[in-house]
Amino acid sequence: MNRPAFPGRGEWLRLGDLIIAAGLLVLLGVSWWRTGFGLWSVTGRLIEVMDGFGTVTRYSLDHQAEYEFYGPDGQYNRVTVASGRVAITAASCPDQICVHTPAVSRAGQYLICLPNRLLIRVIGDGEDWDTVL
Amino acid sequence: MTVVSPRRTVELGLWLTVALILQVVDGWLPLPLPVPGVKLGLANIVTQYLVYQHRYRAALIIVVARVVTASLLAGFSGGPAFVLAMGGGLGCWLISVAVRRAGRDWLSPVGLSLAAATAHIAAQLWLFEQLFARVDTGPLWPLYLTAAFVTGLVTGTATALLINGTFFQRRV
Repeated sequence: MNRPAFPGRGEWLRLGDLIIAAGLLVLLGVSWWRTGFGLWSVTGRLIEVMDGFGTVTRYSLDHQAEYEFYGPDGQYNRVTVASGRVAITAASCPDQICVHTPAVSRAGQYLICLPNRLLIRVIGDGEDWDTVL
Repeated sequence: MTVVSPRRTVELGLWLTVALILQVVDGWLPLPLPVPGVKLGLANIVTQYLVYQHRYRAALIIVVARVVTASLLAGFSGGPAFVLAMGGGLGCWLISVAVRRAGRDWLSPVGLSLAAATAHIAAQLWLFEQLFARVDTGPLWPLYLTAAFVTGLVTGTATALLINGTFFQRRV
């Protein structure tokens, strides 16, 4: 290669970085503005769970309970509802990302276990139930 | 087909190892955010490092090999997790290359990583909507774009440190 492998020292912030950062900040502002900044302002009333088979079921957030979900290849998730919050407390997936995600309680929040194809969405009061999930 | 020298092969193997280790460590540091799946993206440091030096093909090889190897380590399933990881990686590579080529000498690794992190999450959100057709990802965009901005700054700074040779020898 004719080009030197390393352009040299001083590869820190430059004009292009500022342009990219400014562009992304504008994008961020627009995306927050379009969703109305009202994200997660509504308290959740229900959860809607889609399990590994694609079956969708709804549960109340008011009652303390534990639910178990299975997938077609023996996947397993335990979902715990307590004091208006929902969390995935056990999972058979290798990464355990879903178990490490904190409990959620606001309408519009998600819990996802990607390897097991488990999706949980918190639903609030005034929502059109037919349009979600 | 070009002949790849043993030296290149060994070097690529080493970069793959570094990328894999970073990916595994990344998995140990799940950020406690109420948003699923946000990671720092440490493995992208290797991608950005290679792309920054205009070694686009090497970067592509590392991305594909890393995603495949990491999914093998986690017990290959070929499921949505693999599709999202590969889609994110390829989208990230594509935009990184475009940005690097467009911005010859007015760009540092920080700007490159910002664009790359955003491309990564944009590709994944788009793919997610294709995989789970009944999920509306609209309300998730501002959250994930914000996360990408922060993680892009972190990995970009790390890449800049690596390129500037502050802690590392400058010649491989």
